Amino acid sequence: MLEFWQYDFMQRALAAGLVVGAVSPALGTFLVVRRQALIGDGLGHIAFAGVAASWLLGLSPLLGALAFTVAAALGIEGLRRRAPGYADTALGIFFYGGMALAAVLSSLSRASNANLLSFLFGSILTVSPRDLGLIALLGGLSLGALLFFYRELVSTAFDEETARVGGLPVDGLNLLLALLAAATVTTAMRVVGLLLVAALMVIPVATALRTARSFRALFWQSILWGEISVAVGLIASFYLNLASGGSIVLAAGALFALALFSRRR
Amino acid sequence: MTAAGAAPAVEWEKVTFSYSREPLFHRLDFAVAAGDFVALVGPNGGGKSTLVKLGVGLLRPLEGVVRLFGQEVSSFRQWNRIGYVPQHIGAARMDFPITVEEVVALGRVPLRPPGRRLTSQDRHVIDHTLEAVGMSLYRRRLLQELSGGQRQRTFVARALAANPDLIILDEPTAGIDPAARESLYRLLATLNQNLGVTVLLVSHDVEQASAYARRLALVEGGRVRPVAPEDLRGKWFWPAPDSEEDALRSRREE
Repeated sequence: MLEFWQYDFMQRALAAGLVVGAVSPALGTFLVVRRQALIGDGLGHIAFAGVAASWLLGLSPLLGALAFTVAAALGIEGLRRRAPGYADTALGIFFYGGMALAAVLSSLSRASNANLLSFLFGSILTVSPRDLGLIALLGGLSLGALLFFYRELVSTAFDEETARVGGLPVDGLNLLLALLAAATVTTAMRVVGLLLVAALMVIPVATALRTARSFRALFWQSILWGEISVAVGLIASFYLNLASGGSIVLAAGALFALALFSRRR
Repeated sequence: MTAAGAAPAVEWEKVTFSYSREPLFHRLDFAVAAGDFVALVGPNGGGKSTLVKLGVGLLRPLEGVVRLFGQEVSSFRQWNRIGYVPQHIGAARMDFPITVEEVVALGRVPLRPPGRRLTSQDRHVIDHTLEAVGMSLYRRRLLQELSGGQRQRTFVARALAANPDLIILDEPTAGIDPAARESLYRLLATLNQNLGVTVLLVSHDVEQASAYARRLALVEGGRVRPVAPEDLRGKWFWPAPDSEEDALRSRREE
């Protein structure tokens, strides 16, 4: 019955998946209520450029992705602050710039198509012990930061002006959230792939918007729906021999559909 | 209840400010004494909100000084003494998934270092504040399930949760019905009289504001000057006839 559990690669896959299944929706809760749901997508495209640069330089793809997404997060937040009304355009510039850079760098590095595809659609079954260590470290730090600054982040997301008048370091908190988004994208890219990296930041939160009766409930239920999606998707992909990243995201989508069509509250 | 000679709660001294080349305020002087209840009235675009935003440090004057309790805004640190209710906030945050109780708890956030749970004292203040604004029964409701007036009460409660000495409200009665407006004014007047909280608000309903505020000030043409309600008769921003009637009726019924 628990056949999948006998394989080391499956254990690592599940461990990495559960880290991502918690941290992506936890961060996503704040992004969704701030109407920044797609920032993860933008950073995912930037991360692709980071991965391509790593191939070219022979570095770890995770570290390359982290460096690129952190730089982009700083840039996106900087542009957003200068022209708050054009936050989506700022995101778009990085989104396309990242994708173009990735295309150019990967053609330079002559990476194989298989390698490219594994990053675009995820390759959770090939997570090495070293990858898992980095995923756990980044995921743990991000989740810890979200919990530590929880009230300050809610305050800022809810009403930036009043948070500022209250003396909260609003610019610093916005920057923190952007950096955590960068770390989370890097954490999630091996699990669900760069093209689906933002799915777990958005879909479980959308499900929780249907089921939660407070912000705190939204936060924890988003994590719950994220973890269920990862577990169901990963196990289904093992037995049915399906792409793991896609299976996880489809499981999250199925949960959302259930919440949508079940009676509200 | 404040000692004579105490610094004003908020003070604009020779403040110049502009959004474009044309200055909105030029060397403006105005002050709100501690313990006062002042309603700012005036035409749209006259600078009421700008004045308030200068007061809480969201905008910086080009020249001149803004002081809170005698201290320059730029170096002011006791922000827990200031409660703030921004313009349109109730409508703007209507669909944010948060309960009344959670909103009020946010008022306690600036008082404590990050990473701390709410203390029993925090909870006590939150309970007390919810009761003071008459929202105890709705504490677990989401914002989207409330009326406009209930949402405004929730935001007033958040501003009160830090036990401020000064509360500043930018058009708190916009878009809510006359009865809810009346009860919000009554709440502010009670806070002012019983707890000595200084109240500064921006308002469009001159009739009601003048019934509860101790002073009216007209913000117009780059100047702020005290006015009596009767001076404002015939001004174009006088409330529309139907809402004025409603307001008068609900007051006669008391």
